[in-house]
Amino acid sequence: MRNNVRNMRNHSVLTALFPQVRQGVLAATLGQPDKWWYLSELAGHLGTSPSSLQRELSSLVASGILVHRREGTRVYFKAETQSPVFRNLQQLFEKTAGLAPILEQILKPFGNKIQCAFIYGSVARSREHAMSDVDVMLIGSAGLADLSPALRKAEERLGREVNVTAYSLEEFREKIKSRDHFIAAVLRGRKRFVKGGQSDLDEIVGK
Amino acid sequence: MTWTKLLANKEAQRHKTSKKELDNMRALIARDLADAGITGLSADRRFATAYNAALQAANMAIACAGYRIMSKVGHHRVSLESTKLVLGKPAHKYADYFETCRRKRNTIDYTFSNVATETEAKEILVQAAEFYNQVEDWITKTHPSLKM
Repeated sequence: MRNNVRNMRNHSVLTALFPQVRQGVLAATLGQPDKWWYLSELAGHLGTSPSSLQRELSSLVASGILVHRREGTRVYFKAETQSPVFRNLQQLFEKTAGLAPILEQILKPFGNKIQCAFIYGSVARSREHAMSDVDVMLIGSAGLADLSPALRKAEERLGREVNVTAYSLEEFREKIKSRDHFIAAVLRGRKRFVKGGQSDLDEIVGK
Repeated sequence: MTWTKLLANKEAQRHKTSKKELDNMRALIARDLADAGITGLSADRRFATAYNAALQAANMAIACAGYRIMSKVGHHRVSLESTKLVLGKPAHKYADYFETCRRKRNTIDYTFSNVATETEAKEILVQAAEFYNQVEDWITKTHPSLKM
């Protein structure tokens, strides 16, 4: 219920701030800030026509939010990472239309079958580059077979691979007990929770 | 993805299979499913072995449909995705699942150790056996002369 309210609120934040096409352009470019998007590629990604993007792109380039470069007849666009508002805008989209909200959304139908799930690695540390895979650790009885159809769709939306490592509750606890190096390193590192939170993880770990 | 495109891109070629060829693949699948259940092996090895059984089951279905996937970069991905063309909707969930497993198996075989969890190794064995049974059921219904 709380997640529902949060998702609705996130949706209305973006809708109140930006028209739909601009939302799509910003979500794509800020989500993969090192990637140069070819116009028709971006249009294909957003499910619209190149002509419908041109006005938005010109306006975003003119305001310094995006940069463009020309190669022959092709024009490419990317986020202007030197812009003073780049990080603020990126954070806004991360919180509303970014990776974590999309993953929260696809994990929601599994309910109590997932006790806890979080992003770890370079993406959680906000040190990813455009092609960084997203590493997700999942604890619960939902397996990769249950998740895979939804994961494929999420990967298409995000334009990057999502690699899930799944543990049953019992196996995760056994690994903790045996001081597994990988899990210890993940638990020490930064995490972005997409199901449950730090208190749920602490409870599983037995803190 | 269509067979026309796969043939045009030389990712697939026409192929006429035989009961003998399928029986060899069946023996390979039976071996891999048995080996993937040996608990003395690492979770990584069991995972990769069960994955191989699923891949061969996909190749059986493709062979019965009259094709063979060419051995070139990305051919595992093409084989798994092609099962959607051959087996239709019931195979989609398996194709998506084994695509996730394909990437994990690549990491296991070429990059890192201790990648698959016990949970994942057990799951893929169940899924590979289920998928193989689905392929055999399909062969029995659509290509009775090639059935087990």
